[in-house]
Order: sequence, then C-alpha cells, then structure tokens
Amino acid sequence: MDFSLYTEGLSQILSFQVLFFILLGTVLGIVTGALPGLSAMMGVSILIPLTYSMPPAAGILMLIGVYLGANYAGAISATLVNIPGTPSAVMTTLDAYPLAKKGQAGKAIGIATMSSALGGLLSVITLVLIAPLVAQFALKFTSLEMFAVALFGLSIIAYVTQGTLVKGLIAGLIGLLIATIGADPVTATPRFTFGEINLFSGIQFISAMIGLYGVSEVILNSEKYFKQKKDAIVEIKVKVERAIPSFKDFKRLFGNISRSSVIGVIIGAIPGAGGTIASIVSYAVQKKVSKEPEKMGEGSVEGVASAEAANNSCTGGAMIPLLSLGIPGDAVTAILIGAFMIHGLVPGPMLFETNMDLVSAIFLGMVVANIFIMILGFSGAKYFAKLLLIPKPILSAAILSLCFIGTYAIQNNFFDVKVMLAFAVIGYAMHKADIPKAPLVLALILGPLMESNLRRWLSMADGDYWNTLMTAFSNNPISLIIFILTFITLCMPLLTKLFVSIRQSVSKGR
Amino acid sequence: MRDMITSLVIIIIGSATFIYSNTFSSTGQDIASDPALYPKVISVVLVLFGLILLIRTILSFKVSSIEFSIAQLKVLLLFVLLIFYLFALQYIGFIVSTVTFLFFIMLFLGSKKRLAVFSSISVTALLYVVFFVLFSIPKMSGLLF
Repeated sequence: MDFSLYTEGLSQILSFQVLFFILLGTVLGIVTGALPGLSAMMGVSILIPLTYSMPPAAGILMLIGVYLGANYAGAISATLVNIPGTPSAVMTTLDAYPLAKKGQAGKAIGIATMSSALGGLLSVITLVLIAPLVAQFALKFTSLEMFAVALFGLSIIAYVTQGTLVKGLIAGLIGLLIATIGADPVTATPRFTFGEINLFSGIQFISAMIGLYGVSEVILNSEKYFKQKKDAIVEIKVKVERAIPSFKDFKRLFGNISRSSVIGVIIGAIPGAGGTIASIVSYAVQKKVSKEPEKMGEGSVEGVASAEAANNSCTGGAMIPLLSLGIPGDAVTAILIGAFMIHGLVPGPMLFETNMDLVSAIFLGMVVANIFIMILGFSGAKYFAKLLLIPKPILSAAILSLCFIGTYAIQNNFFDVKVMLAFAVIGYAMHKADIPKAPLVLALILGPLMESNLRRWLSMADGDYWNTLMTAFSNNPISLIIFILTFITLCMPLLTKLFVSIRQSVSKGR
Repeated sequence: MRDMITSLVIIIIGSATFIYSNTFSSTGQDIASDPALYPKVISVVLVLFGLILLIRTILSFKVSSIEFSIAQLKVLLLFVLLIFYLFALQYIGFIVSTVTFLFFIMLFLGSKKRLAVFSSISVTALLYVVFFVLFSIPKMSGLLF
C-alpha cells in the first residue's frame, strides 16, 4: 500500500513556521466564531489578505485553521449568552445555555470542545480515505462530465440554501453572468468590460468575497444597531469553571459523537448543505435514539455533543468535493478555492498528481488544527469568554478598515477596492431581496469551469451535437446520471408540492 | 411588493446582458467559438426565472410593504463614508485617512469619544505594522502618509 499521500506532507507540517500559522489561524478562527455577527465566511475572506506573502502550505493551512476554529467557536457564545456565534451553532444553544444557567458553562464548553475536535478528526479520516478515490475517478472525467458535475453542484446549492429555489437559482445565474466578465476563454474577446482594462482578467474573486461577506455583513450588523438604538450590551452572568470533560462523559458520549460525525460528514459533502443542516439532523437523530430524550433541550450533554460533533465534522465532508473535484461544498470552501488560486493552485483531481505534498500537508494540517482546537478549548475557554466584551463599534470599524487594506494588498490596486465596494452593495441588496449569497459565490468559482468545459465539448462535437451526446451517454453513463440528478433537484419543489396535494386529496377522499 | 421589484430588476438585468452580448465580435464560424453564446443562454434563463418570480408574486397576492426609516438613511450615509474612505486612501494616504475614518465610524456606531480616539489610533498602527511592515506591500502614494 502506498502511504505517500499521508507522509509526503510531514516535512511541510513539521516546520515551526507552518505550525505557527495553523495555530494563528485556529486562534483567529475561534475569535471570529465566538463573536456573534462574524461568520466563518467573513473570517476566512477578510483574513485571506494575511496569507498573500506566505508559502502556499502555510497560507492555505492558516485559512483552514480559521475555518475549523470558527466552526467550533460558535458554541462558546451559544453557551455563554445564548446567541449562536455562527449560524451552525443554533442547535448547540438549546442545551448548552441551559447547562450554563445551571452553573455548568465550563462543562458545556468542554463537551462542545471534545465533540467538535473528535468530530473534526473523524471527518479528516473520512476525507483522507475518500478524497483520493474520488480524485482518481474524476481524473477520467471528460469535459461533458465536468460540466455536468459543476451544473449539479450549482443546482443543489440553490436547492439547499435557505429561501426559495427560484431565488437560489437567480443568485446562481447572476454569479455565472458575473463570472463571464473579462476575456473570453476561447477567443479572448473582451466581454462586459466596458473598456475597463482592469476587468479584462475578470472580477478579482477575493475582492468580491471581502465585499460580499466582510463589508456587507458589517453594514447589516450596523443597520440592526441603528434600528434598536441601544445596543444590547452583552453581559456574561455565568462563570466558566474547569472545562475538561471527565473520562466517564467521554465513554458515554463516544457512540453519540461517532454517529453525529458520520451524519456531519455526509451532509457536509453535499454542496450547499453545511453545519446548520447537519446539526439539526443529528440533533433530531439523537433525540430519537437517546435514552433520556425528554432531557434534550433542557441542558443535556447529549444534545451539545450531537450538535457540535455534526457541525464540525462537516468541515472534512466539505473538503472532499473541494480537493477531489475542485467543487466547493459550501460558501467557506468556495472562498478557500480563491485562496488556492492566489497561490497559483487549482483544486481538483490534478492536484493529487501535481501537488501531492500539499494535499498531504492539508490532511495532516487539518488533524493538527483539530488538536489545537482541543487544547485551546480546554485551556482557554475562560479567556475566549472575554472576547464577547469587545465593544461592537470598535470591532466593526476595524473590520471595515481591514477589508479595504486587505483588498488593496491583493495587487496593490485601488480598482480591486472599488470592485469590493460594488460587491458590498450587491451583498446588501441581495440580503434585502432575500436572495441567498452562497449560490452566487459558488457560481463565481464554477462559472469559468462550466463554460470552458462546455465550449470544449461543443468544439469537439463539431456540429454533430445530438449524436455526440448520445454516444457519450452510451459509452459512459456518468454524465447522464448527473444530468438526471440535476433535473430531479430542480423539480424537487414541484414534486414535493405534488406529493403533498395528492396526499391531501387522498385523505379528503376517505 | 419587494419580490415584485426584485423580479423586475432581474428581468431588466437579464435582458440588458442579452442585448449587450450582441456587441461581442465573433471570429469563428461555429457556435463553440462564439463568445456571446454562453452569456446569452444564461441571460435567457435568468429572465425566465425573473418571470417565474414575478408571476408567483402576482398570484400569491401577498401585500408586503417596503419600510423606510432613519436606519436606512444611516446605512446610506455609511456607504457614503466608505466611498469617501476609498478616495481618501487613494489621494491622501493611509495613516491620516484611516485614523479619521475609524474615529468617525466608531462614533457613528455608538462608541464613546475617548475610547474611539484611543482605538482608532491603535487599530491604524496595528494595520500599518501588519501590512506595510510585515508584509511590505508598497505604500499607497497619497499626498500625506
């Protein structure tokens, strides 16, 4: 058996510099995650500028540290002030806050830390086992199959994200249109550049992300403040005591954590479905199998463990399509693709051939980051609680300024900052119109992939489209299957409506 | 009402991109080398979904009004401040514009004056050190610093 995939990155990981940046990323991630209003998306996008000048492995692993740390730390504010620090901690609040009210905040954070780290570690193991297989399979993909996979990824994220399917698809289509700005991939004809030379190479993805998730979220938070006027000053009434869970708790919860992690990995691997959905599902499952279901929701450690294990194991799941297909599993991993591109790397099956050491370093780095989460969570819970006392105006202003400087630093260019501001306006408008942002982000990444593969296929088919398509389907039915799955996804709302109305008419007939 | 406006905006965007795509000059004969094909297809689908949204909104008879409040005006002012900051960075330089920008934003978002003075200076210093010293990105060529 070839172990190079697991060992080649060792030399990269075991350098002081890389370990330091993973630690820094994890700490910064915990900071963004613990603060309500700062999401993992925002954390990763505004911290990308810090990684420009780092070596690829250090930079990408630092951002992965941010991703994992932020996902975990939502539980801290969920426990202490009953506000999920990240949306995916919403199920954690149900049990963690009641525990804190009983004076067991430390225990709640400890259980959350243990479940998050174990969930994360189990998901990395799954990632290590599955991603290389998928990548090997995907190496044989033709342009038609690549196009089909990208289209499927896009339609499923439109279906899964909150809001209606129509609005999700609208967001995706707008993203695809924005992705066409710049030189045509085949003929290099400028498209939608309006004579602006800076647009010729397309929209700078990182500036778009910083606008959509950094600036526009700060503005939405400020609007909330303007509306209620007096900012609800966070008051932490609970005290955090010892956070390390007992061995008895560990033994009792291990089955629960493993089960919830499996749920998390599977849901995480589906594009668009992230930690929030995973924790809701696994919480519900836990309630079904629990010996004391009546205690869940009133301060049960089982509830905390199932929610936290699930939302953190999503991270490994979401990395599977990212690394093996180059298709992001959620908005955060879409932003991570941007970070890969800054370092001149293209995630996807080829990465396993050309940059095996980096892939291996990512696997090992994720393990390290999860261990850091465990150490930081057990020892630092008390101090992270203090983060909630940072005054909001100072934080918001600092983030705004960081967004500007960070965007400028991409290529020392003020045009990117203008693009960033334009996307801040777009993000704000989309929020007002109730259009989800995640499909747009995914479309920005998938757009060029879809178009170039489609055009390549069209030129290979050379006019005889129908016959070429049929031969492709009969030679290898993968693309046909993916197209059918896409079609089913798009018809899902109609199908469920039909199903409900049939059931109603049947029950009326009785 | 809100969805009505949304769908109309979507339809307008889709139609505009479709029409504008006609100006892309094509060199080849086959459709694979036509730069306008792909944007046109997406525009058509976008208009289609805009129409679906419009029809659905009309059929649902849901009357939702759009509220305007002082808060909205303040958000607008916030955007204006951001645009000012952009030009200040470009023409005045980093330090002066950032300290001023941070100070006003902090006050605007409800911070106390003394805290705002102290934090705007320290945040600027931190950003300066991280980006211009540690990462050594070229300084912005403003008039002042």
